[in-house]
Parts: sequence; structure tokens; C-alpha cells
Amino acid sequence: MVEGKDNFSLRYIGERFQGARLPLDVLADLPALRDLIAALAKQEFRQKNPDRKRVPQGFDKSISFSLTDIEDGSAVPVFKLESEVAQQNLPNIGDGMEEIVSRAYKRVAAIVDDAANDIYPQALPDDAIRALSKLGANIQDAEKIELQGTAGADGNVVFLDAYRRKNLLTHIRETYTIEFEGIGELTGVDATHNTIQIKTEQHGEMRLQLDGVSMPAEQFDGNLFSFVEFSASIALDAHDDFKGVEAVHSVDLIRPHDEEVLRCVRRLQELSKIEKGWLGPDHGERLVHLAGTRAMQLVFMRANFARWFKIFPTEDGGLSIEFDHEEWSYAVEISPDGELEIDASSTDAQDYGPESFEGLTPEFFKAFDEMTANIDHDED
Amino acid sequence: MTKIKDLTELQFRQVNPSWMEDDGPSRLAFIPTKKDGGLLSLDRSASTDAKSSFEDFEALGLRTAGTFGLTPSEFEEEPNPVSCYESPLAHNPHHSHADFNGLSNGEKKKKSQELRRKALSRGKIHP
Repeated sequence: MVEGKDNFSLRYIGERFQGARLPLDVLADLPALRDLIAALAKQEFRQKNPDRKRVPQGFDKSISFSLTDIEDGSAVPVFKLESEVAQQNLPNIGDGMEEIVSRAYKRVAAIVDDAANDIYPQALPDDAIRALSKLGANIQDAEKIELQGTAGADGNVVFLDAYRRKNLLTHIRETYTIEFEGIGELTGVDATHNTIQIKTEQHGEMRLQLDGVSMPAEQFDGNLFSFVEFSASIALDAHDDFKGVEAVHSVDLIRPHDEEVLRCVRRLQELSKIEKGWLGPDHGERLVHLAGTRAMQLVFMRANFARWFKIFPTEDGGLSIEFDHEEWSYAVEISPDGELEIDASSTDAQDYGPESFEGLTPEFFKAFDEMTANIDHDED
Repeated sequence: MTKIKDLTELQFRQVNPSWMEDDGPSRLAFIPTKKDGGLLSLDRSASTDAKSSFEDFEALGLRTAGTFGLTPSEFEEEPNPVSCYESPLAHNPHHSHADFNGLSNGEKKKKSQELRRKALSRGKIHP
């Protein structure tokens, strides 16, 4: 527990915080908390001084913290109000800033604790909402942030976890923000507006504005259907439906180093272009995007098989990935709805499957690996 | 329907270009499609040859990357035996078919895999 009105600490609970480790992605919580405290402090000042349109000059700057320690156990970053900075920027404030900041910190705890009891703030200023949206953006499931030195309605220390955060944010605004890292398929390039369009498994189509990242949109030209790795802040609504990209942090084209993987990627790109009727009049559907994406993922996730993979379209818009090894013939059929079926047979009438899976689940990979267990990749 | 008596008579199968990669066919070329009613279309070598079968197929407006061949004996091998029948059509007097009806989907897939291996082993006959 931290003593003094100018000392504050958070306690991060979760496996990745053991041994006083504080991953860099959660360090962003500290400036977010500062901003939130400053926003609430400013709101309180305006409420107490209705004749003043603005807070005194230097008010925001005088709320400055320094990280002074990371205590052991679960990571406990300790930060202290810089009283000298407060004095410099607001000479008449004296020790008053400590009181103001302390009250604002308690108010943060009250907002979080109230939300856990389905009570939500009536009106928060925009700057407080913005800061609250950033606080805990990198918290994962089974992790939480305790606001040390506070007590909630149940007498326990107030904490923020992913569930409470989402609940709170979607009650005070339509969406909440999370940090998202993922892989998507490049589906469009707009060099004029420096944006690219990608399709992700989890959230569907996204438009990424590339201003501020190292790779401009024109460098993605000619790479449609290739995979793109990216990280961004995205907004989701209360139903976890994707609502928009708020900021793009990084984007990279995934260039397969393995020639065989590249061969498969090119084959899939080629198959994505075949038109309906490829088997005859009105017979043979265009490749369905989901099947193509599943196939691409399988190629990457089992890249050591890529040298054997032969990929073919099925009549209904799915794909068949077939490969032989010695006396065995294997197949993975991907239907247009993304379901997969695997089977194998040998020249001496042994067989495996067929087995069906909803997607590229751990169960699928377990079965795939079991089916191909006799293949020694080192032999070839 | 008359079953083809000569079990060594090669039956020609045209393979769609999308079902070929590196001169090797997909097993999809050796399983009836949904509109085929369980019957795999073939041409009899008793009355035509691989080149003519190929050209006649294209003349119907259909796409082929090559002619492969299998015998009724190969179709009838266990497990999952399939029989071949004469089935001349107005636009194709050489037409025959292999009847997959009676096999489950899983059995059809295994059979097509086996047929593919045999066809591949014989090699593309034309062009």
C-alpha cells in the first residue's frame, strides 16, 4: 500500500506480470490514467468555479507524474505527482494540486466500481472519455488492474478488467477500443488516399489509413490477396462487432520466404480469378473467399507440407488441397462455408477419415498431424 | 444399360484444366459432380481414340487439359468396386460411364483417389 496523497500505484494481476514484469504495451495505461485524472480534475474545477469558462493556464501541465518504482509480486508501477512541476505551472496552487489529484484518482476508482454495479456516469467530458478508452486497452482476459489505495462498495480494492472496461465504455459511448494485432488478406489498395483494405477472419473488412506508418499504400500494389500483418486500435460495440479503425500502429506485407509457400499462394491467387462456369455452362462456382482464406492459412500454418500441396477448386466454390507421399494420398477439402474435411488412403487399401471440422481449430490440426504422422520431412 | 465386357478396354476421361497442376490431375476429376447423378462420364477406346475424344470434348464447348485412361478392371477393384457401362449419346456415340451410385461420399472419395493414382501412373495419354 502506498502512503501519501502524491503517491499512487496500480497493481497488474496476471501471468505475464509476475516477477515485477510490466510489458511495454501496458505502459500506455500510465499516461492514459494521467490524462483521465487531469480530465476529471478539470471537470471538478469547472463545476466548483462556474464563473470560469476555462481552467487556469498551466492546470493540465501541472498534473505530471513520474514512475518511481515497479514493486515485486504482480507488477506494481508506483508513480508520484511532481509537485515542483505543479508549483512551476500554477504558482498559487501550493499544496492544493495534491488534493485535487487525490480526489480525481478516487473518482476514477468510483467510476470503475460503480460500473461493476451497473451504475454509469451521467456526463463525462470528452477528454475523460478519450482517456478512459485508452486505460486498460491492452488488458487481456484473466488479467486485471487494481487501483491501489481504493476500496469499492464491497470493501475490496477497486479493479478494472476487460469485461468491466467493455461494459463501462459501451455505456458511456457507443464503442470501446481495443488494441488488435492480426493478419488479414489484402483486398484493395488506394494510393490516392494512402489506404489499404484488408479482410480479417475475426472482424471482416477493415480500411487501414497508412499515414504515419512506414509503408505507403503504393508499396502494396500488385500484392492483392497476399497476407498483411498489422496492429491497430479498433473500436467495437457492446456486441463486439467491429465498428472502425481508430489508429494504425504498424503494417507489413508478409512475403513468404519459402518458394513452395509462395507457389501455393500464387496458385490460390490464380484460382481466385476463375469465373463461374469453369466446369461447363452454369457449372463450376467462383472460389468463395472464406475457402481461399482457410486454404491460405493452412499453407502458412503447415508450410513444411507446401512442397507437396496441389490445390484445386471444387465445383461449389471450395477447394481441395491434395498431396501424395510414398504410398499414401491425402486430401483436405474446404467447403465454401469454411468447414474442412480430411481423409487419406494408401495403395494397400489403408485409410484415414474422413473427418470434418468447423474450421482450422486445434482439433483439426491434431487430426491433420495424426493423419500425416508417418511423413518424415527430413527424408526429402 | 450394357456393362462393358472387355475389362481391359481403356475408358478415356477428360480432365478440366483447373483440375490439373503440373500435369497431375486432381481426384476431383475421377468422382461424379453433383449434376452427374452419380455417373462419371467416359469415352470408350473401342470406338474412339484419346486425341479424338479430346477434340470432340472441346467441340462441345467444354474445357479439357488432357485425356487420361482407366480400364473397367481398375474401376472394379476392391474396395469400393464401380462398374462401367456403355451409354452412347446422340452427340457422343462413344460415351460410357462408371456408376458410383451405391457408394457413400467417403467411399466415393477413396475410390476417386485410387483411380487418380492409377490414371497418373499410366500418364496423360493426350496431348
